[in-house]
Amino acid sequence: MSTKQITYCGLMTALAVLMGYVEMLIPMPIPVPGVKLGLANVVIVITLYFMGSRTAFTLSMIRIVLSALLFAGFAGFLYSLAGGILSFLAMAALKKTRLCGISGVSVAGAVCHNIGQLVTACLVVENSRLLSYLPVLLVSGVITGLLIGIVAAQALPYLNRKF
Amino acid sequence: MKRNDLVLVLIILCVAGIVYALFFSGSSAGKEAVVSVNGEVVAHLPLSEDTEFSADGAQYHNTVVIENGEAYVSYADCPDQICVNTGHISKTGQTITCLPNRMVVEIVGEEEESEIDGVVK
Repeated sequence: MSTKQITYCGLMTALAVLMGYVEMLIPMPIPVPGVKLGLANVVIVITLYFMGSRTAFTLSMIRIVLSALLFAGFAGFLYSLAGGILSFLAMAALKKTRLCGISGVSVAGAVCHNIGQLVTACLVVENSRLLSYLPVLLVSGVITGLLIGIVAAQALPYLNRKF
Repeated sequence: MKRNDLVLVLIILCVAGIVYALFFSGSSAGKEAVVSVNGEVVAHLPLSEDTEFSADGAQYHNTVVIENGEAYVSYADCPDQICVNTGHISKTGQTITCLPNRMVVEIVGEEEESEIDGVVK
């Protein structure tokens, strides 16, 4: 790993943690548990394309642990971990198939993040009835995923040029 | 955006529609609100009578109110307040959830009220 890459990883980890914090300050108009922007995923998607899947996974895990220690606590950690792992697997797999562009990868990540969190929530409250939130979470995942995809697609050319 | 991205989005939206139909197509006016905390049912509240119920978890508390045939959470000391913001529910299949308190309010119809039809001695 070159110094440049180490710098990149440090910078992006800090950015991802910060994104998660900024997101907590933004109130969501939809009263369904788990609906959120997924701002931190901008960083993960960019890293996935810029540095490859191994770095992106490490960054995602470090972000989740740091966020849990700083703000979310153990319950939040469980939800983020389930969402983060499922989301990463979906994105890395879809990117590898080369079937979809960055928007598709980002949408898959957002949707799978929501699915992972919802399943964890069902296990935590021991009530499968929560799955009725799935349609809302799928639609919100598509919308936020597309937005995140646009942001990542805009940022990548700059990174490739300047870094 | 590639064509396949659009296809993926459409597939996900279709799945969302199907799941929605599965959960809410047979939805009708509910008969009672079932309150559970930590996976255990703590109260059956008939929607026909106005009541107030305090659902106490390990850390947080929710006040579930039944009023005019509808259920809602009037007060919660949890950090996210999603349960309070959910508002009023009255149709079967609708739920109010407080994840921090692990509390779920669920509207059920008549057929789910009791598993035992009667006891003969």
